[in-house]
Amino acid sequence: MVNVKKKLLYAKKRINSVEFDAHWYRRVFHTFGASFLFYYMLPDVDWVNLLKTWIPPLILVFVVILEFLRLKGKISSDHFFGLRMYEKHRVGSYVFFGVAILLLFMFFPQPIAVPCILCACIADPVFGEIRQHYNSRYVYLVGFPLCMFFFIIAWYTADVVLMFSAAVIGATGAVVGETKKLWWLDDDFMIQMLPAVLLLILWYIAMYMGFTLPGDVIIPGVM
Amino acid sequence: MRYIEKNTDNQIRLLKTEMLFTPLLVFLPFIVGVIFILDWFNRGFIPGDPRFNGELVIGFIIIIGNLFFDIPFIKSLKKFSQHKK
Repeated sequence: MVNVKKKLLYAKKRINSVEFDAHWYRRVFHTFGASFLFYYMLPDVDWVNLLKTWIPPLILVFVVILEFLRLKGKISSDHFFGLRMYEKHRVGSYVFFGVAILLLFMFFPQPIAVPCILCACIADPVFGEIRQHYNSRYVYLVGFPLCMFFFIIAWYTADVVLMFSAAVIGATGAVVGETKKLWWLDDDFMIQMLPAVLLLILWYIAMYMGFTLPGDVIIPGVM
Repeated sequence: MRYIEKNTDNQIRLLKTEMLFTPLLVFLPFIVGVIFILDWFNRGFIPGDPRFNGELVIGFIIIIGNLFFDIPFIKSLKKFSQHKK
């Protein structure tokens, strides 16, 4: 009897350690995504621009094919470490994450893309930790100023009114995008795209009204 | 939060995969962060160009953000590796 109890405790401990491990693995994968900002530092030279245009979509195509094979059952979900239970029969959040980053790189100005990527890479795991250890209300209290900080950094060269407007709109979009989860649309996508779309609207309004728009926050390198 | 359950044999393989990616996951963001800071120093701080100040802040955000999650991750990985032995 004692032996069974011990074995059960041991098994529980082991399962917990795996879950704990997967949990931190996902967090680190998120923060790792901030490295993609190096994209903006690549020199503005013809052949580099060609690589910048083709390599990110090719990587994404590879990831989508991999995910397609997983969902079709050709590749076992067991090979994907840290995948959540609800992602077993749904597109994995890393695909949404990649699609959103690619869209930001391709179609959005740098002052919009950079803070949105930082929100997904840094703020999102912080939100997750807060939600896990404290009340969900604290997500708004801590997450909102953190996201605002990211938007202020990217828009600090713009007019002050525009900078604060962008920070408030962007942070609201990021927090709402992260908290409103849908089964078919992941928060990793929404935390990036919702503030990006809102800020793009603000960008055109500000341009029309004659405000000073922000310059690039990351200056391309020279060769 | 529940993650996909794994059988014991698969755990070793998964752990190996995870360990294979660890240097990339941990060191690449640090390298990128340092590149940002160095770029700010060389092209911004020395010539006195304030346009590069954003790179300095982003460099620090990347390094601090990663450090914040890398430490518990490495700890958990170490704990799990020891546990497997």
